[in-house]
Order: sequence, then C-alpha cells, then structure tokens
Amino acid sequence: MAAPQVSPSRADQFYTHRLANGLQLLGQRMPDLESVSLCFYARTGARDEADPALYGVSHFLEHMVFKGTARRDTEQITLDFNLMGAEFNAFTSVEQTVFYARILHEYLPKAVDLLSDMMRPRLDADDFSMERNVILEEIARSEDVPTGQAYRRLMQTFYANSPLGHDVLGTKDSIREMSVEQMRAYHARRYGANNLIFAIAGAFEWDNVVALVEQACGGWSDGEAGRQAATHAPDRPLSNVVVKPQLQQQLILVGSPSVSVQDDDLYAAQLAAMVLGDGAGSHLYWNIYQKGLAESASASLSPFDSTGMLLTFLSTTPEHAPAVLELAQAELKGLQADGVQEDELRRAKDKLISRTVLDGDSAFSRMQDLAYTWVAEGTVRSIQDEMARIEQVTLADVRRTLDRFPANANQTIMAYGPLEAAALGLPA
Amino acid sequence: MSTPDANVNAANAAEAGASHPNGELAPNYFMHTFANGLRMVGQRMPSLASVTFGVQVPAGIREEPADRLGLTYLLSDMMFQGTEHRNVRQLTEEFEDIGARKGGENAMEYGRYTAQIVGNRFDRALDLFADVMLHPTIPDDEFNQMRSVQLQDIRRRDDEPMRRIFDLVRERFYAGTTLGRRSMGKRETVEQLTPDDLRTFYRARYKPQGTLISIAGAFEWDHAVERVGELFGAWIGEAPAAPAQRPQPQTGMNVEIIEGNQEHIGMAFPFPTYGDPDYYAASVALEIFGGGMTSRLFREVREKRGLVYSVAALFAPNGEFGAGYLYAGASPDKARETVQVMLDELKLLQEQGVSEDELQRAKTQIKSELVMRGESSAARMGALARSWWFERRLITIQELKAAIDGVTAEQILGLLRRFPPTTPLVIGAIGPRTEKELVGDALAKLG
Repeated sequence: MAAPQVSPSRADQFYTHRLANGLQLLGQRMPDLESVSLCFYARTGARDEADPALYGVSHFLEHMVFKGTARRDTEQITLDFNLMGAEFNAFTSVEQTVFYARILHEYLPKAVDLLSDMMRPRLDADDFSMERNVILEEIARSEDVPTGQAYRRLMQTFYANSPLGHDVLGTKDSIREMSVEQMRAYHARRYGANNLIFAIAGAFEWDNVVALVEQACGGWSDGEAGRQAATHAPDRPLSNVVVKPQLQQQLILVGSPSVSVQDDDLYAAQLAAMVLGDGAGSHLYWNIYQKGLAESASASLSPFDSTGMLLTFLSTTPEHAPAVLELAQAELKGLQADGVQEDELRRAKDKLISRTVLDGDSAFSRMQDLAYTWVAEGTVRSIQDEMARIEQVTLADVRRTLDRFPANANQTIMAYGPLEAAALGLPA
Repeated sequence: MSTPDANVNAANAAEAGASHPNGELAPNYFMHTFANGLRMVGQRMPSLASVTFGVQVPAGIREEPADRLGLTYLLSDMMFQGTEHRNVRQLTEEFEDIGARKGGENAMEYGRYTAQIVGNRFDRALDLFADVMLHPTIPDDEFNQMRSVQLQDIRRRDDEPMRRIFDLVRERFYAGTTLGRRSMGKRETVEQLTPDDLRTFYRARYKPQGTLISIAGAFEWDHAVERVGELFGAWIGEAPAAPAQRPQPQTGMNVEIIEGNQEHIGMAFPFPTYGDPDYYAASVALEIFGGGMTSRLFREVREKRGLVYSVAALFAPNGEFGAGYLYAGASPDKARETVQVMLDELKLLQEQGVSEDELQRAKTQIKSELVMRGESSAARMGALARSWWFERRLITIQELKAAIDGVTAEQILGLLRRFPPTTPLVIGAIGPRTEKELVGDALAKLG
C-alpha cells in the first residue's frame, strides 16, 4: 500500500530566530491557508511550583493574564480579540502554560501586539481577589468529574516526592491563601524572555513576524530559564484507593515508569504503548473492551521533562473490576515477555504516521508541535522527518525500551470508585 | 453503475464557476444523485493532505421503537463489528492498516458514519465503508459484548452530572415527543435489545433514498462519483418519512438532588430551526448572549461576579424544532444568584435586543470562525452534510458570510418577539439544591 502522502503545498518552510534577550521564535509557513495560529509558550507549569504555598499559581496566573495589562483592561483585551474575530484561549499543564490565538492573517500585527502585551499583565490586587472565586469554582467543577480526579490522584501517588505530583489547579487552601505579591514574584521569575517561546504556523511572512515580535518583545528582561528537572520514578509498587460509594463505575489507573520527552527511545515507547492500548485493534481493546468487560480499556504514554509514565486506564463495573485488573496486568506482563509482533509494529507505525499527516493539515496543531519539539529537542521538525523517525523504529528498539522500562514493574495503581482496596487485591 | 443526474452535472457546474442558490454550484463544490436515490455532495480542498467523508442515514434516535431506546447508539457501534465479508478482527485491522479515524454517531434526526484518512487511501476507505453500510451482520457474540459496554457507558454518564444535565432539560423540553430522548437510552430498554431489533431497524431505515454521502478534502470528484456508483449502485429502497412532531414546552423545572461539589444548571427555550428566515439572526443573538469571553453571560456571571467557571449559550437548531441552551456550573451557595443573573440577562435581551456595537463584533467573530473552520476537511464535511440534510442545498462559506452580514439589530428584536427566550423556559439542575432554593418563585413570575 502507498505511504500516506503529504500535500505538496506543505513543502517545509520552517524558521527559527532568537532575540537578543533570549526569546525564541519558531515558525512554519503554510501559504495556502487564510488563517494563522500563534502562541506564547511559557516553559512553566505546576511542576515549577516547588513551594506548597504556590500550588496552582501557574494556572491562576494564566487566568490573570486576561485580566489587564498596563495598556488594556480586561474588557479591552477580550474586545481586541473580538474585533479580530479571533479564536483565543490558554491552558496550563504540568510543564507549560500556553496562550494562543487563531486569526485571519491580515490581523497578525494586532494579534502580536495584543498577545505580547498580555505576557506583561498588571496583576491587580482587586482582579486577583475576584478571579480567586473563579478558580475555586474550577476546582469544585473538577471534583465532579471522576476520571479527572482519578488521574490527579494517580499523579500524586506516582510523583509523590516530586513537584510533578500536585494538581495543576492547586488546592482550595493554597488558592485561598495565595497573595498577589507571590504571584507577581512568580511571574517575574518564570516569564522572562528566555523562558518563553513564540510559535506561529499558517499564512505569514517570516521577516514581518520577526520585526513585529522584536518590536513588541525586544525590551523584555530575562529571568529563570528551564527548570531543575530531576529524573523521578517510583522504585517500588505503590497503590492508592479512593472509595466513592456513590459512583457506579470503578476506575482503575495503572502508571508504569517510562521514557521522558528527551529519550532516544521515545518513539519506540510510543509505538509499544499503541500496540498495548491505543483504541481499536490494540491488545487491551481486543481482550477487555471488545469482550464487553470494560467501558474503556486503553493505554497511552505520558512523557515529561526527564521522566515519564505509561498510563493504563480502565473503567469497568465493580463486579468486573477484579477480573479486568487481572486481565490488564496479564497484558502488561505479556507485552513485557513477548514484546510486539512485526505486523503489530507495522500497523502502529501506519496509525501514527497517518495521524501525523492528518494533523499536519491544521496550523494550530503544527504551532503546538513546533513548540513541543523545540522544548524536547531544541529543533524544529517537518512532517516528513517525523514520518522517517517513526519508520526507523525496529523490533529491537521496542525490546530495548521494554527492558529499560518494564511495563509490569514498580507500578502505581490508583483505584477510584465504589470498591475497597481488599476487593481489588490491593494493600489497604 | 448509476447515471449522472441530468439536472446537476457537477463537473460542468465546477467549470462554470458561478455560485447560485438554485442552479450551478460554486467552484470546487459538487453534487450528484445516483439512480437509486443516493445523494452525494462534496467540496474539493486541494491543498489538504486529508479527506473526510460521512454517510448519513435517515435513522435517528427519534425513530427508535419506544421500548427499544438506545438502539441507534448500539447500532452505530455494531455496524463496525463485522460484515458478510469480514469478521470484526479483519474489519478492524483493515481500518487500522489505512490509519483511518472512523466512527459512528447517533444523532436525534439521523445516524452518521464518518472516516478521515490521508487522501491517497480514500479508495480503500470507501471499499470498507461500502461493506460496512451494505453488509453488516450484527453478530450475536459481539452484540452481547457491545451491549455490556453500552450499559457501562450509561453508568459512567450517571457518574458525571455535567454530561447528563441536558438529558434532564431535554426530557422536559421535548416532553410528549420522541425528540427529548437520551442518546444511549436507559438501562431497562438497553437490557431488552436483541440483535434482531437492530437488524429489523437497519433493514427498514438504511436505504439509499434519503441517505447522503458528504466528502471534503483531497479527492477527485469524478473518480468519487464513479467509485461510489460502483460500490453503492445495487443498493435499493427508501426509508419511511419521519412523522412531523410539534413539541409544546411549558415553563418548568427538572431537579435531581445529589451530593456534589457544584450545582449544574441547564436551560432551554424554543428557537429557530435550520432554514428558518431568522436562523442567522438567532446564531448572532446567541453569540452575543453567551458565545465566548466577550459575551454577556461570561461578563456578568463570571467576570463581574466570579460566580462560576463555566457559563455559555449554545444554539441547537435541529430540523424540526430548535432550541437555545444555556449552561452554568456554580458552587451550591452561589447557585441561586447564578440562576437569577441568567434570568435577568435573558429578560434584558428579550426586552432590548442587542446593540449595534455588539452586533458588529459578533458578525466579525462568526465570519472569521467560518473561514478558519473552512480549512478543515472534517468541519467542511459536517457543514456540507448539514446544509444538504436540513436545507436541501449546498451553502458556500461566501453565502454564509453574506447571510451573517445581512443580520440587523431590528431583525434580532423581531426574532426575540417570535421566540421570547423566557417563555417558555425549561430549567434543569443536578446538585445539592432544591427547586425552591434555586429559583424561589422566579419561574412563576416569568409566566
């Protein structure tokens, strides 16, 4: 069968440039589009909140960025986005905070002016108090979603001795106690030019982009760059059982130590995870989901800076839960013992390559990919290069990766639902 | 192989390069009717790598037998569980081999099966889809397994109040019709389902006359017409038309009391359908009211008062009976004020309409989003299918922009007189609070 074809009009037009103050610019030109997607990517997130008093500050700050700058109040910010017809938002994760806009290309100068202005928020004390209520509501909302709760508790247990383990939203207490001064200090430290990336994909002229960003951001000072990312992985089996009698479904999440974003075996680990549990056709799909035992049985890779996790996710009934956990463990053990088969690897590669090509149609997806790849590897990569890297993975690579990170060793098991620990054969 | 429809010769229309509502199509837009009644519409997007297509059948949730609720949800899975030529493992692996993103969905007024693939695998995907659509076996073993999964889906949904708040609202809003049904059905009805129920439903409703194939992305139209003709040409029959239904929503409230961290509040009021002369005015009005961070609801409920994290309005036009939906999630002690502010804002909108400034901004926003979404093959496939399904024509992005531009503040006032959003108003709530605690006598005052 023919390899997936990349559209010829997507010939690689990649650009990078670093301003004197350390701000990194990344671009992929897609001249046949009318839109352009751009973002500021701050290399900071929950992981960089080592002080428990700062738990949730990255995410809270992400909200405050929309609340006003020296030149604009909050109404003016949203109005200016609105006048461009922009799609815009932001998100905070454990390792990054991203502010983005998607616009028609003629608005590019206005969008650069607005987004860059927002990176220097006024952080007003009254706005801070009002927004605190919204954050507390966001925490309350998250508590009503069992899958999100279970994932956060898994991270907490797996990364118990690392700042990676605490919730991105913070706790109700940390948010109630936090002061605007603490946030200002965090912003000054983590939003220096040298810890930010400006990424853009779509319809633009690069010289114009560089000039606009230089003009808007050239005067920014620098701050702390990157982080002290210690490698971390549990060195023994752990479990955490949260009993929620009012729930009908039993959730079980299994975390196994795996590759980091920087690891040379990242793609081998990714492909092995896909064979194990990426939707239709995977081991978990055939042997658990397709048998009607679980509403969801899947596996995915969560690679972070210097550490990573293979996550197995199960949603089943309390009656089936002990058997489903046993079956999933048998699959993890089987993967470890037998590795993956030639035809399985071929299929996983095709799936990943197709996904890469399909996502390549979207400027927004390319913009994100530029930033993620740069952070992980300090480079930009075309879809063709990405395809080649996937193709290169061999059965031996997968075997080596499994030997380095056994899927069935030092697991953290998180159970969230009606069952007690004993019912699942887990320590109380 | 069917003969091309004499009225609409797609290739000629493309060359003509004109956009006209009643006749020729705009460049890169195509339409064709096969001899068996099967319709196909398409938009070619040559700069993309992907192609997305969907097969939409006149077999929605509203058509389920009353004692077999949840049938279409199960059927949308079972269609991929084996055919006369491929067992489930072969079928799944062949889809995996071409890296297809595929799936079935059951909507209120139709069922739809879609796939997104890289352009040079379109033929393979079409072959597989023809097998799936025309020769499904609905095997007994897989049936039992997928029914178990569905029963678990229902349980998980029950565990997440945010996901089912509109089940509560819609059941009351569409009371007395089949339009307020839950997508997954109910435990009692799903437990009753048999493979023969699905086969009977499939045989009665999956017919070429009334079915629509929509394609957008990197493909060649003439080739697609030829392939679809070869693959689907022998399919025959017509699905019975759905009887018209006239819901009569009455102001009132459905409350479910649970322990929870938030009160989840949903509201619904009658609003235009697709094709209604006020359809575009309604889109603009709801964008202004609750469409994003500049909307009235966001400003008043979240930004000024800090009552919620989520608050939004959503337009659900449908084909038969449209609705405007509102959602907010608030801590129990802020729930009453949240409801009150939402009601006050609805009243204000109803009495005063929108300002010229708001109107201009909303138009810019909607038009820009139209163009940006126009760059995705999946979004265009969906838009083409919608415009043909509900309005029996292909609406180009240019036409949409013009229609949005044509909306005036006066027209929105007229719309709000035709569909006053506070009467009738159906409210649903899931959380710790009672009806009295949430609204007091506010609903009685709405009349």
